[in-house]
Amino acid sequence: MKGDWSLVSFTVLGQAAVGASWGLAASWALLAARADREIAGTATAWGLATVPVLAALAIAVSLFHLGRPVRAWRAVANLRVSWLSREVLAAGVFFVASAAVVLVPGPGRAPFLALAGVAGAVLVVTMARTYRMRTVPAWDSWTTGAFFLQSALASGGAVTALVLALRSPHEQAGLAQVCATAVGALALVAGPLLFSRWRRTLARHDGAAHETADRLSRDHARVRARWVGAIMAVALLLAAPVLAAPWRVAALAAAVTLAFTAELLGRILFYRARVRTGL
Amino acid sequence: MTRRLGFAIDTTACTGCKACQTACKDRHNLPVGVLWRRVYEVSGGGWRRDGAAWRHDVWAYSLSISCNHCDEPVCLEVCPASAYDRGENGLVRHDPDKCLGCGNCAWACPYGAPQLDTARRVMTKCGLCAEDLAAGRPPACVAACPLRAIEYGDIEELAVRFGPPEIEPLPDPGLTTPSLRVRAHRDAGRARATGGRVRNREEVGE
Repeated sequence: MKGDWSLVSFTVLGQAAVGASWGLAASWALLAARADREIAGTATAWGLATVPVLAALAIAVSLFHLGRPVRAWRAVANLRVSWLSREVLAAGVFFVASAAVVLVPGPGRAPFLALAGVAGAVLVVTMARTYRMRTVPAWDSWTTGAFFLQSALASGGAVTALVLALRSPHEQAGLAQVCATAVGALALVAGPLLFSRWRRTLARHDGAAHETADRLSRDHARVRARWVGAIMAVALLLAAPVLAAPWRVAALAAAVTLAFTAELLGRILFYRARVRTGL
Repeated sequence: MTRRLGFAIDTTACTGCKACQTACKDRHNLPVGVLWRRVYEVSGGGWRRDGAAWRHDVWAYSLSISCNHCDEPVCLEVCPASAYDRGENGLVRHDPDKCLGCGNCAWACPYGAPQLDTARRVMTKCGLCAEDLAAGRPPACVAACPLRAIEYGDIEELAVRFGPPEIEPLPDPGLTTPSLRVRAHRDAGRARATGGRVRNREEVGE
């Protein structure tokens, strides 16, 4: 795991930023359609400002795994074949687009919201392709992409629910909040379930895949902690709407923290699965 | 037709003396912890009951491995910085001045060829002693082997005398199409059937 902490943080924060941008863009569109653009802007402004901050933090923390961070600009030098190069470019475009959403006022932000959403989707896809190495059997499957998408939806759903609770007294925000809560809760539960299925599938193979399954099955503490974190986050997300206003925000803040923790634990387990075939 | 250079390893002759490993390290002045060529010790077997008697069927062989200058190099595919390229004679070259030290190549290579130089904080790997070849000298590992267990040359010519690199613990050659041929040790089949293990992973820095 040496040096992996920066990549664990980069992927979890980056996917959370993408998920939040999707959730907040959808909420903005929903509120703009049902109420008006001013209400939509007020309800999502604070949340949209956190997206480039999360993205910038993710990019900054990723530099720590480089032997030579001053040469980081070279990371886009192999766009023709390297998925990692494409991932770095997508992260940059996503950051710029999400920053433009905050900086451009009024109706002009709509195209940047759309661009950020698309760049975020491209970022999640390129992240998954980067890890789908044909020499690492545990990663070389559709589950890598599913883990990353699930993580984006889990963190993004929780963050969106919190943002809407914080800054949206309008009734029209109710539907957006219900949708964000439902997506976040489902994705949070899907994470550990998908992990269990992945581990069972790996155990049926031999060689590096089987060794991965062995390694993961010995890591009971992290697997259980992830389940506990995810279930508690879901419980708080679902309980929040029936609580009084200050308690609702506190419950959602705790849900976001627990969701992040659960996703971090899941990602640590994902990195522990890096067993290469061969030597 | 373009020549494609590679190595051939005779595991029936290799005694695991590690002269190749040492010569490589010496020739390229490699720091502690970096081994461009590594000698793996693969062994297995144990005691088994044969009627009233107990017999042992212990076996072992050594396998010397470096970069195999693959025809489909995964290091080149995953490197974001274009630090890898294909040189003359199919050699996979690495330019440390372009390297970020991200380690993606080390994750991907199924032969463990790219190695991190912790002092310079960049990846490094075997270049098949290209300067020596240009000067008409053999690679340091080939020159050092007292049993002539390592050969180099055109991979098609080596294929006439050596078999495919299908020996434990090497990966499926279809993954990267390595420029490597192997004369398999007599116990290679048992290693494949019973799952031989590399016993000196710590020694080779894994």
